[in-house]
Amino acid sequence: MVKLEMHHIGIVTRSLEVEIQHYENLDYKLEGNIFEDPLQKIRGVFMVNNGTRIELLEGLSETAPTVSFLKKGIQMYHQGFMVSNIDTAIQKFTDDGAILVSSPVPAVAFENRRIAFLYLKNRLLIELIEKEEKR
Amino acid sequence: MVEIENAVAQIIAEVLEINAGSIEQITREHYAAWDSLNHLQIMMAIEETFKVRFTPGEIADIRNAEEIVALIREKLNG
Repeated sequence: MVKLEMHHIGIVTRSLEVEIQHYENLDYKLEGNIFEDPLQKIRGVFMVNNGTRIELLEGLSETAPTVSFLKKGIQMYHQGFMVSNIDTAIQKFTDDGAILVSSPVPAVAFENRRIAFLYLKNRLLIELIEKEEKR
Repeated sequence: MVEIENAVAQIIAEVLEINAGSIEQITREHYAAWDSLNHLQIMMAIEETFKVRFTPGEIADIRNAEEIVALIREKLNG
């Protein structure tokens, strides 16, 4: 049994600084500092409002994975979930027909714990985030 | 065998919203709309239609419709 703990909604932006202001107008508060992850080709920041957490992301280049969403006018483009065992969770979703978009890699946003992206059969992109550092 | 080519061309055409032409011309390089998001939609539709599974490496490496057809044939005959 794989337990998923909702962590955030990923929102792609053209400019972090501009969108932070928009979300502050919606009473979201910054959670931590802006981070940069060259592996994911993005910079980002978390914001929270009444228990709901969003991750604002800005591509570092035209080859960033976020670019194709922006071009289609899609802002909310993934949901992130914490899992105890990322390998077991990936196996569960791929057994159910999901496509593993990116294999687990350490992520700057999560103290180098591993993340992976999956594309589900209902065409939803999800991010799995490892709860504990793999040893 | 032609049925596979036609079905692949049709799936890609529907996702990219293009006219399905000759399969040799359907490449990621030729169609800017064949971006990473549409690539996932295409591969998911291909998997569902032909009841085959692709590895992450295969999905990442595919550059055109002919490669998809070749992989489908390989898996169906394997």
